[in-house]
Amino acid sequence: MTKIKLQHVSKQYTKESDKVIHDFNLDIDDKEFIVFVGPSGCGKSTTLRMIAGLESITGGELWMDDQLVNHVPSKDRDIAMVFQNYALFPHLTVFDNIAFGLKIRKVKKAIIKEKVEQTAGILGLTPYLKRKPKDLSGGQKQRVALGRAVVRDANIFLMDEPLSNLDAKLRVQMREEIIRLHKTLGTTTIYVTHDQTEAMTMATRIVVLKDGHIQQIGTPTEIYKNPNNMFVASFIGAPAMNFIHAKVVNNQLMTSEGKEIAPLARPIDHQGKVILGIRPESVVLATENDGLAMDVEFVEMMGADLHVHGKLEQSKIIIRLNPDVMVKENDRIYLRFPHEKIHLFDPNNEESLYQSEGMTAWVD
Amino acid sequence: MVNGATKPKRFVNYLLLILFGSVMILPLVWMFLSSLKTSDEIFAVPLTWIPSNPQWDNFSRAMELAPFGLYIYNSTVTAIFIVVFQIISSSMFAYALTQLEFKGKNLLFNSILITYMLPAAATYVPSYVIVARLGLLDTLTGIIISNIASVFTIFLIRQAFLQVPKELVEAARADGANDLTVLMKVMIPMSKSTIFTAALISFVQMYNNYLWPSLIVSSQEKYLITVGLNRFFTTQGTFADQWPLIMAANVLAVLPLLILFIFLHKWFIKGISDNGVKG
Amino acid sequence: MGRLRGTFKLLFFVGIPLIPLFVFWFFPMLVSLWLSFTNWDYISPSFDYVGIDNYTNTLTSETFYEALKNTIFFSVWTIVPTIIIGLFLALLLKEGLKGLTFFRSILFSPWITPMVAMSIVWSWIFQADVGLINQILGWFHLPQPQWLTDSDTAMWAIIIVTVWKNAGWAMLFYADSLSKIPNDLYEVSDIEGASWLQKIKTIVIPLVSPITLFLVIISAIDAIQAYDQIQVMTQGGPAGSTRTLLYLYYQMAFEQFNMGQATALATIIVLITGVLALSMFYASKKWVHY
Repeated sequence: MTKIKLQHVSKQYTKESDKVIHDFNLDIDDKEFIVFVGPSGCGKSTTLRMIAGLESITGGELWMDDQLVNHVPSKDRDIAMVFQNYALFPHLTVFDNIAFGLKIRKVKKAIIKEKVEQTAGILGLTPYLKRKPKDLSGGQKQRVALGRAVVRDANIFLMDEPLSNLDAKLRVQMREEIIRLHKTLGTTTIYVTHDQTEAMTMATRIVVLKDGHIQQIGTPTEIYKNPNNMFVASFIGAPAMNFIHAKVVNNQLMTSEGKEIAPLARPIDHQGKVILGIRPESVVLATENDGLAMDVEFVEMMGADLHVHGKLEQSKIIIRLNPDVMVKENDRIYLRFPHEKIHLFDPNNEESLYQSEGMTAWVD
Repeated sequence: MVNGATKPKRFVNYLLLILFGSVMILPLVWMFLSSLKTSDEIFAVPLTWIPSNPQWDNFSRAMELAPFGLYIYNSTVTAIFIVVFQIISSSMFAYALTQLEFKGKNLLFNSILITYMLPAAATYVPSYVIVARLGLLDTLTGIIISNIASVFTIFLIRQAFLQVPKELVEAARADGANDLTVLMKVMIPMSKSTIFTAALISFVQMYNNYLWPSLIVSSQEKYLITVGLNRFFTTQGTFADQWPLIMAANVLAVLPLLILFIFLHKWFIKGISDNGVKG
Repeated sequence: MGRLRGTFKLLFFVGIPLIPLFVFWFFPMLVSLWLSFTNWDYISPSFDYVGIDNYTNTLTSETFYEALKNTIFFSVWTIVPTIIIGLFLALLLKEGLKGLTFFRSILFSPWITPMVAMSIVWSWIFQADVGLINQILGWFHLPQPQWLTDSDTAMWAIIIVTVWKNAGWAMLFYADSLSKIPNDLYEVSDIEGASWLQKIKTIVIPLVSPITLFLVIISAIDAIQAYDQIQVMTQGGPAGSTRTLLYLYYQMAFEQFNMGQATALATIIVLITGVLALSMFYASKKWVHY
């Protein structure tokens, strides 16, 4: 089991082109499950591939335990990787696919057999060992790909969007399986995804990336409760955090039209326009007297929740209510924002100004 | 490591490409150089690469001995006619194979594929008799009509037609298009690049065809370039001093195709890639 | 009415294209088979049925076995190098180097040239005293064979020309097939530390195997039908050393006008090709992975 350290790592494909990764710093502890999350093109896969040794590192240092590995070839980094498209050999059986790495490394046949069977047992692949990939379902294929990683007893697992090609139901199931696997094996894992749900449910720590810059690093709770900026706030959580145009006058938070929202628990070093952020589930219903008016545009019944879409002054918002509440299209309802749930962002640089929950974000 | 494109490996790669490239191109270069040599230079030991005084009139002298212009014209016209007929009939057939439902369709396609496996030469004797009975011996028409059937073209175009999205055909039919309209307005435009490649490949093969045309035509004004060239070679090859002229005649024969290839080389490659011909 | 239209449609789309196919393919095949039981000589209007005499004559003649041996030799030694060189060239082109299109065109260019013209050029290159090859061999003090005039080397000369002309064709198909192999398979191998040779063995060869089968069959048919280069360079000589079955067929049919004998040989060639193609398909189940 290995610690990984990235120091000022950057990536540039050609001298003329722009950097795709800027100054990436991260310490990964033994047995962690780190998730890189961000929209496509944010550099998460590139970073993973640099750690794997499939891409060269333009600047900075990559350490594994106490060894600088920038120029160590993939095969000597003791990693195993799982790819989005499974990367199974179509002409080999499940057994031979799982055994591939061991065979290349010239492990003895008897040991290979034992290990492959053991791995197949863990992943529920025993009945399929003789089949070819084309006769397997998507979930089974990805299990074989996982098996190929597991069987190697590698110190680091790298997973590049392994669940993206699966349908929704299977994805939840495989997610659980990967978590269980990590608990059993304790292998340091770096997992890349664009799906914030996967990040939230699987990670011990999340790294949020955008345009090759780290936006925030933290546990799922930290990231959710104390996002560093509007990007992180909107990317993590579904439905996304609501942003409402507001202003701060004398430590008092008001809407753009001057309606009082809530007093701030502590003074902030900012006056005038701000962006108020509030999660859909943090909004509370109020009465006409002590609430802000919201015009309901439409309602989505989700089963466990009710998503109410509408407008508060000029800002579009979504709130999440108990499904028993009777709200319908064209209703006017009144809302209250509990002050301990309020986030404020600077409208100019989108950075966080105020997090009332008192926890400071884990800033690198 | 990334695609193995490390520097020393890249160097070796280039070196090998240059080596193989030179071997492949050498006979062509040698042909061009020889066509400009005097007969003394062509027989020189040790060999001379570059003719000291390029003999451009080798070409006109070769043309005086045999009407190569006419041969090339014959070949080009014959090949164009064959290609046009092949494309029309193969497109129709491929349309039937991909769009129409009828009994024995698979059997028909498979038996055609099997025919492709069999050597065409086995048909030469009866085909020769058929051409003779049709009174088409020693005519270019005889060569053209006996070459219209092309299993390779059918196969290639069928492959392309299979990739035309069903929705497009259904949409066209919903708009009231009949089969001929679907073929002309949907299938063929959607498969342009494959059809063009098939036409190019077929043109090259027909222009280069030798054995069968050499059986059909017997008078000089009907010779195809391959037939005329070989006749020229067998009559002049015995005279040592005629070798530069033979080389010049070769250049004349190869040149039209090389020019075609220089302008259209990407199409030879594209059509094959688009199709993903499977075994 | 609808039915009638359907029939008409079929006649149009299937019937018309089938006419040339029928007249110059299926029908001649059958006629050829029929002629093989006769002693027709093309000139005389009448002929007799001779049973299987043509076949027994062919199958007992030494010339036939000589030609069969030559055909097999020629086929094996053109197919195997064409395929290996084709794959090798495609692998060289895969690395994404600059000038790739240029090299690809150069390597493919022999294929578009007329075999007749290039055979004439090659016969000059193979010329024993002043030919290019022997002069180059001379620089390195290597043995200088007589090539086309020596029955031991003439077939090799024909083989070299054929491979030279066809390798680019094979390369094109392999290049396309290689470009469809997902890159992550190579990456998996990189992570496991597979060598270049291991990658070729575990990824490339199995994954291009359908194209290999396709090329083997196409090249085998081509090899069996090779004629132009033999006609130009050796006319089957010296001493019959480059006479293949097809060349023998040509000589019987169009030099000796022994149509019965020739068509019997044609039938044998067809049978050999058929058996070969079928057995390749059958064997391919073991090594071709779709």
